[in-house]
Amino acid sequence: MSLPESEKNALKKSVREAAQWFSLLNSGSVSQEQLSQWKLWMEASELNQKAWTQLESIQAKFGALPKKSASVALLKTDISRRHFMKTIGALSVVLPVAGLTYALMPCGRFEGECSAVGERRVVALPDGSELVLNTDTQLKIHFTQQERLIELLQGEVYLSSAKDTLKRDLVIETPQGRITALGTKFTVRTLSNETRVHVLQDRVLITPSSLASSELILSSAQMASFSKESVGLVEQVPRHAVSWLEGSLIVVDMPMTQLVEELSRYKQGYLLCDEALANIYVSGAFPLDDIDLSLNTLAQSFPVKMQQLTPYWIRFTPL
Amino acid sequence: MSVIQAEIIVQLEQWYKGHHHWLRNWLNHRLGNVFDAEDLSHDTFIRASHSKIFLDVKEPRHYLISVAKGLSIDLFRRQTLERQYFDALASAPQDYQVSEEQHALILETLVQLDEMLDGLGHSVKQVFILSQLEGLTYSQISDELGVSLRTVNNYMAKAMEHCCLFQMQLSEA
Repeated sequence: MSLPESEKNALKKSVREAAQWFSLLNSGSVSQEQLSQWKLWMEASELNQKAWTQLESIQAKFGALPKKSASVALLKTDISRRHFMKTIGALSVVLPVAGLTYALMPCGRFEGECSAVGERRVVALPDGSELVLNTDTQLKIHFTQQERLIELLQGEVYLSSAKDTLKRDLVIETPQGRITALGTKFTVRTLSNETRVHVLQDRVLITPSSLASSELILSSAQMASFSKESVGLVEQVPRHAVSWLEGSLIVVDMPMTQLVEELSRYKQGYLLCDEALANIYVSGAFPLDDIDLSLNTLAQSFPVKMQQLTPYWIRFTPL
Repeated sequence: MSVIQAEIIVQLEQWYKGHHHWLRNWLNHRLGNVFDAEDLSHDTFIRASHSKIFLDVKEPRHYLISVAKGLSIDLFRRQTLERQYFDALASAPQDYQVSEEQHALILETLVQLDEMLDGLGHSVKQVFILSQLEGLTYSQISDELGVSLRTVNNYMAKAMEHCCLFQMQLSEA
């Protein structure tokens, strides 16, 4: 239904006046005289009444919401949206000729390589080395005359190094320090304050960023975590540590809380697990490309309840 | 059915046949598991076919991608809102004790309001929400945000005007 221009303008005028009346009436300091004038305004035309009805329906919408949480939700979205718009807004819609090189969302304007949540990607490096990105990973590649550097900003990667004709060092750098490949296959994962390294073949050299002296060479089948200051205990690489490369999370006697936390890396949204469930130990193989299936399996096999408020908010609690 | 409507349907069918698979794969590869590529692709065709310029488009794939981009932005907004809402619920346990259906209804309202408030500047939006949701008086809002009472009054009127116009445009469609 399209209104003629003159009617549209009259309606807009009524809306403007209604909004001003609303602001006054809502302020809590209205005189008797102003109230009378408002009533006169209401009676003056049908358009005024129409505008007022709109206004009341909007107030009703607000009235039906849980005050505090709605308020926070509506105000907080501004920040994340601005960030998203920066990544997606300026993206030109240019179709690639061969292959798919533009990300609609995960990388956006980020100048590096990355993977979305739940995605695994293989990236071939200029020297022939192979890099596999696990879920939710961001990195930058800096190959120079001096070295082959991969800056791992967040996430987890598997690197299979190739020999370099220029004999440059192949290094992965994280916020905690550097891992130099010594002709090898290994994985690196960033956690909040440390980096974890699993060596699958040959050796790597770990150099924490603060103290150059406490370097450590990790050999085949060894794993260690390190912070900026030091390298932790060297342990054996657990049997299925890199099962993610094949798209599956294999665990043996893992506390359910830890398992759910691991699975949450591969799925958007909130995946929560009550602390009380830490004494349930789980063994099994969980497909990473179908997290929902994995979660349903957990719910069916153990004495737990899976609450699902939305596809993006799931919580495990004891029965 | 008019001639134009028939032409739209024919083109939609052609486009769907020729590009649905491609678009779905493209979206799947680019968005990963973030959104359902099948649903998004389907919605993209529908939305595209409603556009005034649909019959004049020379490069279907370019156009489809820009429509999909717009839709994914909407979806992202919805997801973000959802996340923020549940986040906020965590610190407001009294609001949490409602049924799943009620949560869903609340979310729908939030999405509508969010879209409605979108054109407003952040300060105007803040004033409006503090008044309508948190029930602060104009005097309290003035103190909280460091703006004059007069500004609060102006912002309230401006916000409400904007919301009414937004809502009415929808019903005029």
